[in-house]
Amino acid sequence: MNKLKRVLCGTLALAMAASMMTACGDDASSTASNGGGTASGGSDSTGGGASGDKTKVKVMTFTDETQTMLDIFCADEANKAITDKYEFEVSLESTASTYIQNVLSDLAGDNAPDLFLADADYAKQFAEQEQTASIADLGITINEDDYYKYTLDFTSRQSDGTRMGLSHQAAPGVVLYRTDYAEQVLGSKDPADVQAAMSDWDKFVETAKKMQENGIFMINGLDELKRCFMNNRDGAWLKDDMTYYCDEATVTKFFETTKELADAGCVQYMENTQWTTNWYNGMQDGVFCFFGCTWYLHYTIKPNCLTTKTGDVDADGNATAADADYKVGNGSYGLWGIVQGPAPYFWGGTWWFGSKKCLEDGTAEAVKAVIEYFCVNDDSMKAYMEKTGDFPSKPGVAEQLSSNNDFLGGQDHYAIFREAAKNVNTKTTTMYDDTFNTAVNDALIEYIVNGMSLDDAIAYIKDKAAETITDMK
Amino acid sequence: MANYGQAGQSIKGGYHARILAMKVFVYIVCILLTIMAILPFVIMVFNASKSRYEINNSYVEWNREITDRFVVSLLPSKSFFANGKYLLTSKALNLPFGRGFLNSILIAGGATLLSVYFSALTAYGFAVYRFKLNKPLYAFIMAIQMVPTQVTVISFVELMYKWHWTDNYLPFILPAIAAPSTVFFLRQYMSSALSIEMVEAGRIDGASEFGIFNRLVLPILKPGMATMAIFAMVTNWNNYLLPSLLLRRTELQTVPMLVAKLNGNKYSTEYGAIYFGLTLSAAPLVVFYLILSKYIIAGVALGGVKE
Amino acid sequence: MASSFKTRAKLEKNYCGYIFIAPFFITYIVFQLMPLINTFRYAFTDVRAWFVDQSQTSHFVGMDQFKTVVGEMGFKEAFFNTPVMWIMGFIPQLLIALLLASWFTNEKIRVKGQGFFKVIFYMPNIMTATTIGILFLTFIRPNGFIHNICISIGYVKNARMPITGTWFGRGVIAFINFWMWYGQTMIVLIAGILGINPSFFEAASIDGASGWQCFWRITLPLIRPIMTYSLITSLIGGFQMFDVPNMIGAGETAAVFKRDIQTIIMYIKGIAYTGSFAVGKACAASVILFLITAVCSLILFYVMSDRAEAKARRAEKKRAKEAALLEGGDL
Repeated sequence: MNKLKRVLCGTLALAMAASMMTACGDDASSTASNGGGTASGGSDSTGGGASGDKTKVKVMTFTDETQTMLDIFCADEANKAITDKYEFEVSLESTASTYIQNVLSDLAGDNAPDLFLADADYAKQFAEQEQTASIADLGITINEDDYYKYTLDFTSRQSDGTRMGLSHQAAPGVVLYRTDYAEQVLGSKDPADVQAAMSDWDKFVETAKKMQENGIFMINGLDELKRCFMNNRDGAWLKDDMTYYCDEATVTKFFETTKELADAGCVQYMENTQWTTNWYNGMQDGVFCFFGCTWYLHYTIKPNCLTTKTGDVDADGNATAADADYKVGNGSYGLWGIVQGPAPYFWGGTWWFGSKKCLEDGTAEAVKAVIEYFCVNDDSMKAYMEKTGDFPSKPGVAEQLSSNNDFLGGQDHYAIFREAAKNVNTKTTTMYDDTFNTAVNDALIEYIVNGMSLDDAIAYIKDKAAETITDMK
Repeated sequence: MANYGQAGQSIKGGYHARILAMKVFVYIVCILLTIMAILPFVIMVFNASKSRYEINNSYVEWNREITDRFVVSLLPSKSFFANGKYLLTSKALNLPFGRGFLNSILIAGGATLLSVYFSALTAYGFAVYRFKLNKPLYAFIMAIQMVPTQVTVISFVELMYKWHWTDNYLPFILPAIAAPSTVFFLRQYMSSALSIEMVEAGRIDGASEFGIFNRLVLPILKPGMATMAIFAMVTNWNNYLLPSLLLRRTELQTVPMLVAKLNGNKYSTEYGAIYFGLTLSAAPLVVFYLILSKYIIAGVALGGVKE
Repeated sequence: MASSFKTRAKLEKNYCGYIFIAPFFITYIVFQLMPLINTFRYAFTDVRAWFVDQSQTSHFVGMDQFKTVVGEMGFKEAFFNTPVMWIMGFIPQLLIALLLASWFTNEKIRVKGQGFFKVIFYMPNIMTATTIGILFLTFIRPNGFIHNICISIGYVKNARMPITGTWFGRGVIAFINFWMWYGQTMIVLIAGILGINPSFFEAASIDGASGWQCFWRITLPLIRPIMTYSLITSLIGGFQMFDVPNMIGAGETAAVFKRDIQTIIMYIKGIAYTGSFAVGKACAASVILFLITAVCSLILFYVMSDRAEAKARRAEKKRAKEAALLEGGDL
């Protein structure tokens, strides 16, 4: 027992020491918003100097792109006045349901974020929160005519139409296709010819079967067509009085088209592959087309179509190392083209919100500066878009952009996106879209993989949603 | 000791052969179970040393081995430190494991100290004082051992929200004061280890009731408290559900939460690094266990652990 | 000792007992009893999570939420999966533990290295459940080690296809539960068997009972209380299963059988903290979980100990009576 005692004393002593060491960290975190705390969690903070006397701006986000963007913001000399005073502390949570819960509960509590971001699935929900500041509260003035209107409507309060959040990007959806496969099977890699081969769903299926005969998969996973179909429903999942509405014709068409493709062997994986390893695998080889959009182009497919990164473990998202990899001949880089596809749609987007707390704790200045830098100021918006290939939320900026994109074999993706952005329809969105999104994913798997009947699968969506949306009628 | 075998020694000749066959069978089963217990951890450590490429092509290798050499894809490779470096420094993953260990030690250590000390205090109160509600209250403690704790998890979290106790360690440390099974164990322990005469002697010397407990009783209870401390430490270290609902800021999160993110991070396809993270989270527990295994096994045998 | 104390102790010292036990009860009331009472209270109101409705306006809705919950698919699935996965894991857990315990305490076999085996078999139990969950998820994921075996035996056709099958998913969870817990049960049972008075076995072997008979007639009945304890604690833990199925179900690999490994706590957490944050409804489900656990424990307790003991006692009485009658007849 003596040995045990010694070991335990050691453990407890260690625990005590640890508690002392972290005690100061805790104090700092609780007073972080007031500034003056000796810094903790240095890896999270972004800023020029490492001095501890900067005011912390608490940022909550669902994407690691935010950190990259804030790095760009901080690196710009023009923002020196802000970066000298403030330090951004980013917390990232990529699971949507957890992220929503975290943001909503933190907003209501003491430790509210100053700046927080939202995906399309829950941007409406964040806009409705009591603690969300309107862009007017933040002192940001915009000319509404300068924007793609849907990016503004998306985050307007339902009751009075107050504009709550701004987006730096518009996200019209397109179809990305492999030019080499197009040439091999369709005889032409010209966007016009490819568009003709998939201008509606019947032609899409027909092309898919041709691809299959040549050993090429048309799509990678079962959920590939989801966004395109779901955006073209004739109404949102919930009406204003919270009654459930399902455009059964469209959902049926979506399920049946996917099933037809799956049965014909045109789908590489019999699972929902979006945001999974198998999604990325498919981008490298063997799949004809992906339903993507603006941010998808530079954020998702470009880095994941490369193959020579694979052998190397320290592929750290380290910019210098990665830059060299982006060249034609690496994986499927340079073998892609863009067309509108069977129907116009949009996919996601990133909206920036300030909280009422930032108005009180003196960080409003920084929040305003960041939002203006990416979402209002034409020059910096344009610079960011040129750097990444993303597509801006302002048509005026979009007009100025053009590219000779070597990823796309020289095609100018801005031309396609400008066209696509005109047709975006957001009439089908509700604040609970995250829940419905999950329900549709599950129903699709039940129908195609687990053999549930079509009627049951459609009813499943309602049942599943009703479990968590208790107001639904 | 159960010695019901002795009488059989002088029976027939085939008897020894049968015992031998039985012995061989028992050892084979035990060795198989040993492999089953260890293999997952071995694969975990070996895979932590492989690059993503090696893991993603493991089937190809695996298949080749079936005809060629059998275990090659199970053997370690040389990317162990590269995986470790990536896991610990990657900004994209953002998993501060060093900080996580500190947080886990703080929470588990704090909860362990409180639970062991206050359980001893409570058990002592029941053992030594004959107050009116002694029996019914002790029966109550026995009964609440059986209440499933997760039933209250939602309203507990709601309470913490109302108190603004998110991103705070108190919700995991303070409730440890009330640990019914530890009280039960220590109460049993006292009935054999503690003599009332000693308490009486302390009183005659003029020590206060609290002083008697702290200076005379606690040292005697140490072995029993140590056993309970081990289990409290492990249980609190492994706790996931509550911290995952209440801790937001990455730098406050515990090891199980960071491990869970290895899975949740949809941007990550670095499987070598994932195995490394799992190894990292398991290693301290294995060391802790192997050092204290004698006491842990003895503690389990005493029925001190419930779950 | 305690009784001698009672006569000598000064009465006024006894109030100190309340002070000593006060911290426990205050903590218990604040952090466990209050939430428990709130759970029951919320179950009858349509209260939302605090952060979406800080005024906590709620209406009494009676049994409505219970009715809704019971009718839901997710509820039915969760309340089916959880006990099924628990039973699938517990039966082999108890059988293997019993087998090992009987071997390890058998003087004829005299297993060497028992200490080593105990340490190894118990090891998975102290590991973090989230680590175990993700570890096994990486095994069943394409290119994982179990996945490779499945291809080799032809269960999976393609190196990139996930393993499918309702019972595969449940089987993995059940296996992990078994794997983590059989060592613990074994150690407890060994302690129980070693605690049996050796004179029982001596008497039996004098009567010429075989080792097998000894096990069935002496060992098993005498360790029944310990088995009951193991069974009931395992049941309570099993109904609260969360960490491992949550980790495995969250992975892309499990998308196909995600619904088959959905457990009660996962369902409750989902209702409370997604969608409209219906804490009231989640609490109604929690109350049902509480009641079902309580009823199942009581039934098991009754079946395993009380009634069996009573039966044994009755049988003994009957035998005694018969013997007496027989003697009487002889006379």
